[in-house]
Amino acid sequence: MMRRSVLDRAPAGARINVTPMIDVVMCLIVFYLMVGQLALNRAAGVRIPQTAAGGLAAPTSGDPIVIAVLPDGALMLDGEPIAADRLTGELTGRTARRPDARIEIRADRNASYGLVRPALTAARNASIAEVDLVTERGG
Amino acid sequence: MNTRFQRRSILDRAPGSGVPNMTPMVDVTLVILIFFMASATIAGPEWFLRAELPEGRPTSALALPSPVVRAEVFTRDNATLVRGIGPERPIEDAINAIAAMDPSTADGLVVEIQTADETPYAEVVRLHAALVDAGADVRLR
Repeated sequence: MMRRSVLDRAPAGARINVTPMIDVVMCLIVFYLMVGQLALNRAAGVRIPQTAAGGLAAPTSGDPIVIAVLPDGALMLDGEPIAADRLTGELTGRTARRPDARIEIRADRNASYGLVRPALTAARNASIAEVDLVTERGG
Repeated sequence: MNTRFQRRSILDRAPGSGVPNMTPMVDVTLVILIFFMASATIAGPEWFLRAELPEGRPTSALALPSPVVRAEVFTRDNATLVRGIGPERPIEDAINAIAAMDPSTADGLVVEIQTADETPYAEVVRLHAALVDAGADVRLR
């Protein structure tokens, strides 16, 4: 017996309705765009420390500049690895372009303070007066 | 007249039945539901601890105006200790003391934290959070 395709089985003149597929595909595209943006701001491999209280519950302004400090002391700026000696220059440039941007520091909970210090020093050298240390609610 | 481009109502689109086709709406609703569940997991609940970054060399304790307290955080014998916020003591005791403080005492207070390199970052952040929760402003040296 010969196999029949989907189109063969359809009544004459019927067409496949692609509207639901387009709806879902569009939603998926939006989903990946938004999650990609979120993931960019949360550097992979960083488990931020937990605190029971304190601080602002939500960011007060738009997209922040994110400095991540990995457990081995490696630095990332907005999701891209960066050497400590280049961080000040990069921060200076980015804050000049976006003077209202907040600076977030996402350092790993297992890092020692000495590994976080280069990020703070670079921010200070870039004339940044305030940073936000990001922690997880809990603990 | 060519009826090919005539507008059709939503009811006409459901073949035969006269009932609106709910399938696309259900599809989209489910995708949006999954999106919110996934983004809530990724984003997670977070705190943002504001820290000032003063320029220049650390100010001597004597030169500081009265509302500024200089705290030193360091480790000794695998214990993290705090000096400057009351007597030298384990960080846990200092955090408990800060939490028990009268809110009016810490309000407007500036605490300048000087931390030794080997101190666990998570411990410093816990102290920082306790101070912010008590109403103090924190500077990191």
